[in-house]
Amino acid sequence: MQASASELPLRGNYFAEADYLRQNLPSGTLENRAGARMFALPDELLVALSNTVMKHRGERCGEVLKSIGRGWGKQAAEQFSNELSGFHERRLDEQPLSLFAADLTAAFLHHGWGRLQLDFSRYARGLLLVEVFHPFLGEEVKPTSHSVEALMAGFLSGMFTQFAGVELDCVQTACRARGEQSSRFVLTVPQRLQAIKELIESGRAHDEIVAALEKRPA
Amino acid sequence: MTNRLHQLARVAEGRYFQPEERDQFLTYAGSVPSRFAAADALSEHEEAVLKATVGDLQQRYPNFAKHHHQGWAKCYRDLQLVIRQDAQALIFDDVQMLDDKTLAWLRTILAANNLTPQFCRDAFTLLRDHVKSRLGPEHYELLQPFLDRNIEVLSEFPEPATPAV
Repeated sequence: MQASASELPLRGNYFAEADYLRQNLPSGTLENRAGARMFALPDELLVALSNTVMKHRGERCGEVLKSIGRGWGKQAAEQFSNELSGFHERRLDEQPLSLFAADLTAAFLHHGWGRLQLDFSRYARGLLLVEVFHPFLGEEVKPTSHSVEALMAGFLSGMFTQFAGVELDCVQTACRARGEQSSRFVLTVPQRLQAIKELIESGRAHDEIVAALEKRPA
Repeated sequence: MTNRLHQLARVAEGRYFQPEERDQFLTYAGSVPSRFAAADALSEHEEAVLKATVGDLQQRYPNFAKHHHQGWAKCYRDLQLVIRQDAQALIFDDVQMLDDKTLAWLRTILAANNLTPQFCRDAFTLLRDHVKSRLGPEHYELLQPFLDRNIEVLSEFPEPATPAV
C-alpha cells in the first residue's frame, strides 16, 4: 500500500432506503435519518399546482413555477449540505466532486425525483449539464411544443446556486412533452442565458443551445 | 431474503402461512449460522484479501496512482466497503440490499473518477478470486453471488472520455 487507508472514512450511501426514512405511525409523521420532517407528495398535487398556476398566471406560469422550484432547491441544497457534511465528517466543499455527484444522484433516486446524470465536462467553461430520467411532473404529460418542467429547472438552479455560492440560472433544453427521451437542463450564470434568450425561446435542440453558450464568454 | 420475507408477509395478509411459505422461513432461519460463519471467515481474511487485490492491481495498472491523490488507499477503502457490505447482504441473503446501499452509489463515484469499466471489472474479479483462494468452498459458495454481483454492477458504465487508470 502506498498510503494509509485509515484516514479515509468508510461510509457508504447516506440515502440507502432502510436507513434513510423513519415512519412514526402514532404521530403520522415521516422523518429522514437526520430528523427532518418529510412528506410524500403525489404526482397529482404537482399536476394540480401546475394547472392552477397556469390558469391564474397564463404566460407567466413558467416563471412562477420556476420561482417556487428555486426556493425549494435552495432549501434542499442547504439540508443536503448539512446532512452530508456531518455524515462524511467533512464540509461539502472539501469533499471530492465524484462523492458529491454520487450523493446527489442517490438523493434524487431515493426521494423519487428521477435518475440524475450530471455532466461536469464543461464545468471549467462555466456550464453544467444535467439529464434527468423519470423526473417528477413528467411521467404523464400532454405533448406540447415547449418544455414544461419549470419546477425542476427552478429546483436545479436554486440547488446549484446554493452549492456554488454564485447566482446560477437553468434552462430546460429537452423534455419528454416535446417527444424527447429524457429531460435535459443547462446551468450557467443568468447573463449568459439572457444573451441567447431568443434561441432558447424558439425551442432549439439541446446541442445547439450548448454550442451557442460555449461561444459566449464564461 | 428480508425482501422476500416481507413479500411473503404481504401475500399472506389475513391468513396463516401455508406449508411452503413456512418452509421458506425455516430454510432461511436454518441458514443463518452458516451465513455468519462465512462472514466471520471473510472478516478474518479481509486484510490479506484486500492487500493481495490491491497488490495485483498495482502491477496491472502502474500509472493509476499518477491520476489519483491517495489513489491506492482510496481503492483499498472502496474494496473494503464493498466486501463488508457483501458480508452484510450475505447475512440477510439480499442482493437488492447490496445494490441499494452500496453498488449503485459507488458506481457513480467510480465513473466520475474516470475509471474504466475494465479497471473495475479487474478489481472486483481479483477481489472475488482472492476471496476464493483463501476461504473454504462452503464459505465461498455462499459469498459468490454477492461477489459476482459486485463485478456485474460496478463495471457497467460508459467508457470515460479521458480514462484515468
